[in-house]
Amino acid sequence: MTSVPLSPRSASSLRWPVLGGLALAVFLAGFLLPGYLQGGYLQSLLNNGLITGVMALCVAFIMHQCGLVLFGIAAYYGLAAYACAILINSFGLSAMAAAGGALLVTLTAAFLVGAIVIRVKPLAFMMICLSLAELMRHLVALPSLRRTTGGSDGLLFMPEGRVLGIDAMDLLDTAQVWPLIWTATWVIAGLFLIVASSHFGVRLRAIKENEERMRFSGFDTYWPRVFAFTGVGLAAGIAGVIQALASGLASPEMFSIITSTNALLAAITGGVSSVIGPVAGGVIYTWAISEFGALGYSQLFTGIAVILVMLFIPKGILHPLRLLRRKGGRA
Amino acid sequence: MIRVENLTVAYGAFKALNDISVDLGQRGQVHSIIGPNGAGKSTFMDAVVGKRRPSAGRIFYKDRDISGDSIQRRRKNGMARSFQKTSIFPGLTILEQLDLVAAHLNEPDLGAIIDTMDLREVLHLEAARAAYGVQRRVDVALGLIGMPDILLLDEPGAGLSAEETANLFRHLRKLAAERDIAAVVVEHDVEAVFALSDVVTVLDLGRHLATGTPAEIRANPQVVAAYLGTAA
Repeated sequence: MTSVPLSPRSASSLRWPVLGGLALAVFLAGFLLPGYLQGGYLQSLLNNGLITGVMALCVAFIMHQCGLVLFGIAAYYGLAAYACAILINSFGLSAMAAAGGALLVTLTAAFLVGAIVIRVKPLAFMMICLSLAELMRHLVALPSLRRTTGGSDGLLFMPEGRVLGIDAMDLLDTAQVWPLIWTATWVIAGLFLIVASSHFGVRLRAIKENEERMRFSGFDTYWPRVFAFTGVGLAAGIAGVIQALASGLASPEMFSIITSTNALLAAITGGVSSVIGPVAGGVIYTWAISEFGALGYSQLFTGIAVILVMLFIPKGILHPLRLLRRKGGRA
Repeated sequence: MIRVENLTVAYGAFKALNDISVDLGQRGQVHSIIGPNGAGKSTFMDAVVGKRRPSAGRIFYKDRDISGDSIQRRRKNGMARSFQKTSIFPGLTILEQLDLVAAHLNEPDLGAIIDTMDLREVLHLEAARAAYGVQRRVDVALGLIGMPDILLLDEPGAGLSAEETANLFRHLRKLAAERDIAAVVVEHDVEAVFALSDVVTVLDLGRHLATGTPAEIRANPQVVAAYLGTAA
């Protein structure tokens, strides 16, 4: 294709190197955090916040790129956790092999579900995804499956071997699992950012904008969305595997509507149009729930906070900062 | 280039198109389709491009029966269309959307399309923020990408002033000649159609009334009685 001679947009040539350097510094500094937090409550809060943040990233990605509200992300989070636990307990696999197997199971499940639900209307999409997660929650809690799934108590397991250089048993420690959570968050956020900025990402947004015009421009509009859904399911699966390895437990609550709601609200709190927003939303939302819970009014205050965010900063808590940056850039 | 044989499109008992046979699309020519409201012009266009499945009849494109082909396949084989209601990607910049489609359809000279449709100054504008006339030109530009053999335009002048419509038609004539493509246009503005078309087909109540040069159509008593009236 002949390139179009265009006048370049006014952009500082230093912008990306500076941002890249800053991101690298933050990423590396993150590994020092456990030394300051010394485990305990804050570390646990941050771990859970990032896990919720990864799930919020998944919800935000599919919402921003495909215009779909994924109100059932817990299905892939829980499935990966259970697959990992079952592969360790029932098949005697090492933690790393079980994690890989669990992600393969999740990838396959997300692809098959995606191939069906992408065809339906947005409301049906939302409800089918939610119903699927609830169905799985009940399935793993069935007394007849107790030997394999642990029933309503969940499935405890003892991981063996090493996971990416860390002893699997050490992952049960909140400080020791931190590098895994921190790295996974960055890798998933980075991949989502690359995909969203790529030709494939523009194609997804174009399908969201005007599917009919895309078909009349010769594009297939089905498979790109199935692949996006599959990728999002896999990313949620990674969060599920890490959470399972960090707790030595896969529980029915991982599939619950509360897990899906938390991810959705964290995405909305942070804003769905960036990769930083949902992660920040995950941490802030987890912290807020914990603080409100300590006061004894968790649901009441969370509800009020969500209403305030939706009313006054509907594009997420990072949006005012973005506006300030733009204003600063123009000045 | 397109041969329509005994095309019928029915919605239940109502026949929006009734046994229409017509040849469309000579290279380098503008072929307009006119008719009163409810004549079946848009349904005809939808059936030709594959959006609406015919109840009966067949559509041939370059002597091949394409009645069962998907929209995407027809587009890739060189049949493009624009829409009555502007159909672009409002959240993308004009360049993003042109570039996306150009990459997919291996357009060899996107720059020429941008210049022909006079879009160079607005390339970095989000399409939703562009003026309506610009959006119409983006719609046509999207149809022109990929060197189509035939471009079907459904009321390209909708929402434009008489002057803008005449300008758009002049663009189309130039494009048809320069790129050696056939333009098939559904249009309400009869004066613009007669001034700038090479061939005109008239539909009325789902039936094919006449096909001919503008002069022949103006002189056709059936067309005058059914559609043009004293305006002719």
